[in-house]
Amino acid sequence: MADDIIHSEDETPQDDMNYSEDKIPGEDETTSEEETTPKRKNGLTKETFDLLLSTLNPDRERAGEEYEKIRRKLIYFFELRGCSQVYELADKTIDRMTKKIIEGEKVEYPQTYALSIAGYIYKEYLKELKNIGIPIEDILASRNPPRDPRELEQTPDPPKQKERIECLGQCLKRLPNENRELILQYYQGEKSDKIKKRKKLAQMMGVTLNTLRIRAHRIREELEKCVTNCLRQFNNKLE
Amino acid sequence: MRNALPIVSDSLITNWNRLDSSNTYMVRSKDSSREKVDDKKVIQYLLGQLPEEERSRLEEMFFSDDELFEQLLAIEDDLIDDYVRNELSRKQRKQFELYFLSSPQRRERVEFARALLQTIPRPVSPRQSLLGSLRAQSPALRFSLATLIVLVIGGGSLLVIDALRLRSRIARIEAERIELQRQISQQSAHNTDLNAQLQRERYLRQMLEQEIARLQQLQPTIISFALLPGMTRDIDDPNRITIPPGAQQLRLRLLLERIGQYNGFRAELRGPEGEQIMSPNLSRIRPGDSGKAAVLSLPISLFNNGSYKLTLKGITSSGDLDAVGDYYFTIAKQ
Repeated sequence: MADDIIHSEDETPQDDMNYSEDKIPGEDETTSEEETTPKRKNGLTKETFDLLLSTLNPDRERAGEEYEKIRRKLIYFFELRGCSQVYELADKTIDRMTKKIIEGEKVEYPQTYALSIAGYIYKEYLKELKNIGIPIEDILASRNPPRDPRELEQTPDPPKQKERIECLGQCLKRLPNENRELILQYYQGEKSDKIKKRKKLAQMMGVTLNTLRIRAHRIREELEKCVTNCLRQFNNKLE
Repeated sequence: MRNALPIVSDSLITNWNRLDSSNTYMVRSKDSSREKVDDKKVIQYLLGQLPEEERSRLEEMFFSDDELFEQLLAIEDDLIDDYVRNELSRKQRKQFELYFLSSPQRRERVEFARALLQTIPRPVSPRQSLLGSLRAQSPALRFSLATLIVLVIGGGSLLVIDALRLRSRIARIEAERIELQRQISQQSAHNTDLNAQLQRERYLRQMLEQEIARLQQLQPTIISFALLPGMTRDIDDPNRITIPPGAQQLRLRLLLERIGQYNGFRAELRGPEGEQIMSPNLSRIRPGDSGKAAVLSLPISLFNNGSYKLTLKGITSSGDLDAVGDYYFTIAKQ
């Protein structure tokens, strides 16, 4: 029944969860100046964005890299918790963090500071879900009914998968020879054989297994980006 | 009134509250996160199997250490691959689907991994593929396939031999590749040595040039002497040059029989025992006196008492060397 799912209006979740005692930084704190200032897409004006960057690193280029790292980690944080709209939540976290910096908060370690803010944002997110009566399980398990991977292998969204493989082939060709060779060698073998081969490969390259794994990951990430772009172009052509 | 259906998990919220009150994230230093993180723990984290406190601690480490974060992503790659290859335990697979696949981005990564593992050639276990095919077929076809398998096994020994040969060949090629790599690194080390040697030589040359410049600045006491080719005053006492004490340089005017014929000269100097004191390759002499003589300046330190022979060669317009003449003289130091 709908009544069972949705909170009644007179019920105050804050009281249930003792939220009133635990004030979330930056929550519902808008100044008149902010209301009148035109905002960028991610909620930051150029000035506040510049301020954030200068806090991250005095060198603007490095600050940009640091910003991207933080955003990426935040997206990961929300993604792992099964949140929807992870990009928006990450940007919201950065906005909140910037706001705290403007208010005079001294941020020594921006990345861990962003994590702490992300915790608050996640709490707000859960609170919102609770307010609209969505069970937490809905954002996790029930959205993804378990499927047998063997079955998935036979029918993994076949038309798109065919294009993906085609794109991957093109992207592999575009890799520098050294990287292509590494990725092809890295993914050889299965189970214990795979581990043996990787150890041997690392030994031959004179690096630790962990370094090899990170290198392979970077190449894979590059490939993933390339495939995503390729698929996008493919879809654009179809449209 | 409270709802009957489960709403947002209270424990999730209270866990964050606990972290908030301790303010852990804000005070922990960057260096403190440099701890070893084992794969098992990261996998538990990715599958949502870690207690909240440990999860938060790990996240703090990932946020403060970029390399650890990359390690996390690399482990995630492996986890996804294991899922695609059906190498996860039943429990892990279930958890993977329940927890890890809860975002569309992650599902996309799984599809990418599937494509990657399909694209990269990998050896297929013959047993797996045959059994898989047999199970999928009708009884009649199964019988035919079984017969075919028997035939294949019959001829299999030949294939095994071939495979062993191939394997040994691959091993040989691999060994050759490693040897080649070793040679390349050896060559690279050799190049480095050569570079260092070149640097040393350059330094020495620079030092010598400085020394020469310094010496050139000194005013040497010069002894001049003119010589005719092949001429000696007498057999026992050829052109005798007496060197007074303090003399530093001997300037020889080598008179020529023919005038203005050469662009320059080279001279070879041999000592009392016939030993070469100066190679023609090292001496380039300009013509003096409008081509009537070649003038050669030599440091006195080059000479001891005794007879010397100087062979002069002229550089023609084509760059060849012509024999001009031999000059004999005796040095007598006072």
